[in-house]
Amino acid sequence: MTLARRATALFIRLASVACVSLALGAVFPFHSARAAESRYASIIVDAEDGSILSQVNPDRRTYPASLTKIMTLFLVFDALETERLRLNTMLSVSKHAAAQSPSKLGLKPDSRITVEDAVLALVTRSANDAAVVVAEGIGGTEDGFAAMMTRKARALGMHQTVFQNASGLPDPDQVTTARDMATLARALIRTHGRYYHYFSTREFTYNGQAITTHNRLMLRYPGADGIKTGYIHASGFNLVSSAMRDGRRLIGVVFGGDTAGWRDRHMAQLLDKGFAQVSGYDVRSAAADQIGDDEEEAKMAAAPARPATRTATSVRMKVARAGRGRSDAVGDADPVSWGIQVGAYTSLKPAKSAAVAAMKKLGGLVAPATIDVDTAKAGKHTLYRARIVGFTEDQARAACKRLERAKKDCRVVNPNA
Amino acid sequence: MIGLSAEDVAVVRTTLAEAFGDGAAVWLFGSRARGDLRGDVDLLVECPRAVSLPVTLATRRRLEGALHQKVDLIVRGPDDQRSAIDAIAKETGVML
Repeated sequence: MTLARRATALFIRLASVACVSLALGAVFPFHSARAAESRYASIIVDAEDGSILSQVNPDRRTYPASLTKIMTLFLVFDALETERLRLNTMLSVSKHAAAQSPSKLGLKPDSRITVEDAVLALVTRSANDAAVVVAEGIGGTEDGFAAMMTRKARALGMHQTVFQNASGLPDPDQVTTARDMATLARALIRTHGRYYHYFSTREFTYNGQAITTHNRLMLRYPGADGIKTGYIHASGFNLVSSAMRDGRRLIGVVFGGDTAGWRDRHMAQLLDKGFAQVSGYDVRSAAADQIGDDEEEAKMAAAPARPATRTATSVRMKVARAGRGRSDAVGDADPVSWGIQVGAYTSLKPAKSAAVAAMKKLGGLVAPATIDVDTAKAGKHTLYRARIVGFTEDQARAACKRLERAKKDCRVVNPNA
Repeated sequence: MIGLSAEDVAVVRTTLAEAFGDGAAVWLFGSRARGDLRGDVDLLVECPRAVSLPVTLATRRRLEGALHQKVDLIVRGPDDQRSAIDAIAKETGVML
């Protein structure tokens, strides 16, 4: 027992029964212990054409939390474009702005801050006081600005979003969906591309204080360059991300993570699968299946960083490598590769379809594995064997286990057999 | 440098503000305040209003769930008795 816990125990014994009515969750009564499941939503879209690569509960209404600030910044960038504001414009800090709940910069009433510093405080610290400063600077009042935000949302095609404030602080009537947030992020990147670099800010200094970004995925995920995290208790951990690889930009939205770490890992998996799809391999999301299956995913994603190992005779496809910067073509023969076989057919097409279906079922989490439809003689006939290769033995067995659970045929292929 | 990420700090501040209101002062102390990335998250909160025990316990559970870490949470209302830990937390800790 630590000193603090002993003190807590003492405090508990001494605690007064005089309570205040600060019942947690009272503001959001529909959230229960199962909230994490009910509030989960995600979507991955191609930034170029808006096509949807994966989605789970994309239209489920939830709370944006600080993802709200993406819209706040959209209107700031609108004001910069129309020269209503300049980056060095000084904005006044009202008492209302200074009184915002954390996170905040700690701005004092009647002080001033430049538009650019406010923007940086919004994207890094997610400062609620700075959000209200820019809201009042543009909309006169925060309420007026919130109305502008909702009007802009409608204009952008965000049909289910309502804003009540500029910060994302809890308000039961401030709601959005994963689809709407993807629409917003895509519109921001397309409309205000010249300002998007602000979302890549890792750190900035304000009044001698170094302020670092909350967006750890942006620092770790290859190709990621923005955009915004969000958290209130009612929403769980939210994230809008964007990443670019080989000239293709994807936008991802995840709502309702239990922890920041889970949310970040999940976003990385969804983006990996998205990039696998757009690079030519059609892996649709199996996100709903994967939640709660961390142990198996970890085993399957823990492949050594080396090329997949068999030379296909007929078909070769590319699969994104978990945790790698790009989808790579596979290398040549390596006699120690393990694989799985999901069927054998007398023609190529069904064999290919079976392998693709198995890959879908595995959710694109097969690290350096590749589809490998090869041929074998069976009397006068040629058999096309639908295989996925490039596993370690553990991964191959885990992959078969997952497929067998889904009542799919699978057998492990030992390269030494 | 403390042993919590910037987002973790924001989560702590947001959660405590949701539970205890905007005026709560928060100190991180113990190993995390010294920069260790492991160990309990020790927090002292001074709240300008009276605080109920159920809210304190529920808030601790929320923090533990959100941070995925064990949290020791001491919450003082204006009339609560202080102990040595309060002084230690303020002297050695970091105000969030």
